Amino acid sequence: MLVLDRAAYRYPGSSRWALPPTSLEVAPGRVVGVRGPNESGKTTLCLVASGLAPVAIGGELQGRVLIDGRPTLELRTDELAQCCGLLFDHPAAQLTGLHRTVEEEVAFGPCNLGLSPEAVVERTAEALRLLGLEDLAGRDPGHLSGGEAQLVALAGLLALRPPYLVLDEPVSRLDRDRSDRVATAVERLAAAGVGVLVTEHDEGFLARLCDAILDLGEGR
Amino acid sequence: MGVIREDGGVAAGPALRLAGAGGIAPVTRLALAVSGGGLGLAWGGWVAIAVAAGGAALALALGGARRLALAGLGLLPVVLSSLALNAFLPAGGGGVATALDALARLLAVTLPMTLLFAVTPAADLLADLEARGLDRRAVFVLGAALAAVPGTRERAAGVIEAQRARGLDTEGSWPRRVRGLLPLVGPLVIGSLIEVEERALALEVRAFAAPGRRTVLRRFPEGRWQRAARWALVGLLVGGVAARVALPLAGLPAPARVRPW
Amino acid sequence: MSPSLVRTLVLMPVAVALNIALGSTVQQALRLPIYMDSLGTVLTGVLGGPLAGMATGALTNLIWAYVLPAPLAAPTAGPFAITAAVIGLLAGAWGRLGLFRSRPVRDLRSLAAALGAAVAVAAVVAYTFGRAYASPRAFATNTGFDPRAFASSEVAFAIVIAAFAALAAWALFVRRDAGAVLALVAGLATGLVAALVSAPIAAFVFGGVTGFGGDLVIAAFRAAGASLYQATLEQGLLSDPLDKMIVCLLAFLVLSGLPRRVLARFPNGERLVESG
Repeated sequence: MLVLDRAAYRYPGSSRWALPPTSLEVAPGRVVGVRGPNESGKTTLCLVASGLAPVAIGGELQGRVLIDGRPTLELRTDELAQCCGLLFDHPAAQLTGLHRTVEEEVAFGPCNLGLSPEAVVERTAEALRLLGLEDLAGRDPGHLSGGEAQLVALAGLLALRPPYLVLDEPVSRLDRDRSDRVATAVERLAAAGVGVLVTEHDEGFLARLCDAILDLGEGR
Repeated sequence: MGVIREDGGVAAGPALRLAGAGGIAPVTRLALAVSGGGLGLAWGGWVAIAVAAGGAALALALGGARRLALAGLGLLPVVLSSLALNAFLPAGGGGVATALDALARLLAVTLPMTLLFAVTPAADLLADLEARGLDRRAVFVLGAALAAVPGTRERAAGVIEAQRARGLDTEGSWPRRVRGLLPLVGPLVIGSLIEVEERALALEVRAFAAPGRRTVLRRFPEGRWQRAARWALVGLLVGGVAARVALPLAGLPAPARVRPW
Repeated sequence: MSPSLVRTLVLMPVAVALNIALGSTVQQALRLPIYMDSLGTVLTGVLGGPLAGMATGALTNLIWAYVLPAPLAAPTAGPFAITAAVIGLLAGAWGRLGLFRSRPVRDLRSLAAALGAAVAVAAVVAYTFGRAYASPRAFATNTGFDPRAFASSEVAFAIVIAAFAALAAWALFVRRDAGAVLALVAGLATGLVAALVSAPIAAFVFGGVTGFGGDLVIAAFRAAGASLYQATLEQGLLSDPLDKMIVCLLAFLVLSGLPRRVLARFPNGERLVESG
């Protein structure tokens, strides 16, 4: 279970609480949606839920964030990456730009962990299969469309096999077609037992996928 | 994507790309280029000329001649300047011989290194270095630096265009151009620095900071002779430079300058 | 690997690309006699420390010279990777010493520190000038240089000091930031060291020219009687301090415009932020 227990957060050097005290739970296989106006703290919520705030970016966390019982504050960033993947809202920032093929790009995560070459190949293939991206495997990541890049970025996270995923406005920059692909992918992931937290504007997207929807800006 | 296992078998995936050009591993080529350049630089004279000539010959054989020629053209202004200055204003230590000697050193340093990257993709060299133990941090920095150059130049061109449209003067007198410094440099640098935060997070979510050795998928198998050759080259470089440094200390005369007449 | 180290590792390649873009695209647009290709190196040194600065500098020159394809490649930059590394190393030292921190003029203590530093630099320069260059003969005996090069050295010194004074005045009265003066001092010192390191490289590998526009200046010094090494050094002592002062001032101005949040996450960031 991914749990936020009255978690509030403020960025380093800031006096304002970017995320007011928030509580939510994401169980394995469930999809929880979050909506709210701009500047309501959706991105901050994503950073907090994945543990990157404050572990990677500093700042102050009040309350607790637990992933399967372990407080995020006690984990290293690589441990967090294996517990809870975070997808940014624009793939350009998320793809490393260091690899010549999609396959190598997706394999980046497992390689970082030092797994055996066979395990790396297996996880990469699995991630690509789960998202229906096998035909993109040999393509140059720098020459993908926005939607394809978003899916490749997601595959890169999935290769680490996190039990939970946090998606920050995953389809805000995509057209109908690509949004559908992402939605299908999320459905498959939930069916496979991954717990998903997704923030989005797109009401249709949220309605299709989510078992529960939270409004940021309301009380808990 | 194919993976060569320790026993030589191949796991899953399409064929693996191996080093081209006669199967000489990138790291061996690096050792060759560095030792050649280093010896030429230290000794000058005929050693430097031999290294430069060797580099040029290899370039013709391997197809890197065009890039070498372009590099040579890049050096031309310096070479001409040096020859002119030393021929006409030799006061105190100049002279054409000095210019030629420096030219030989310059070519010895430039040609092998340029040739190396003309025939070896930088990504291959990095993969080979990592397979042989180069730290993941260095591999990342080297790879990312190369990848970042084209995009940053484009961004710079974009900033210049945007500021010109806002009235920035890049053609006028020099005080006006100096005033153009901060409006051009500022946005470019600030944009780059703010990007750093996001890219750092992107690495973290892919477990880049994990401890231990990374998995390397591409390997460049080689005969045992290459390992021995690399050690020999390193030894040659160290010994050669040490000998050159020790010469004046031992009271022996420096090697004769190259004179074409 | 700590998050701030990851940040530095990401900064380094960004800075390398920045150096090359500034030194090619921007330099060609403005056509000023400053290179600006060390701005990224200085920023990395100040933010990430001396090692990061050194690596950024060396890598910039090596990539620019040998790895990039023509027409972008600049093979003359290769041997000067040593100079670039030294610039990065020094920037790291200046950063650690807090020389790039913003110090508004209204803070009397900072103003006093800045004025003190400027006066100290001026005094050192005046003393050096007085002792070494009191006369052509003194010049020759104290520096080992040919006395005929004396007059041109005077000119070089005068130009550099005038530029320093002008920029410092701008910093104090227009910008009202005493920290900028310290950044200028750092730039002046860096430029002097860079010239000293570059001159033997230029003499040894390039036959006493630097491969850039400064060769005309070198020719002038040579015509006045200076040797290969002296002429290159004098040209360097003229152009490098000017270039590095401007680069350090630019670095300072850029850093002072960044939010504290961005700065604080770098290893050396805390020293750039005002305490309190």
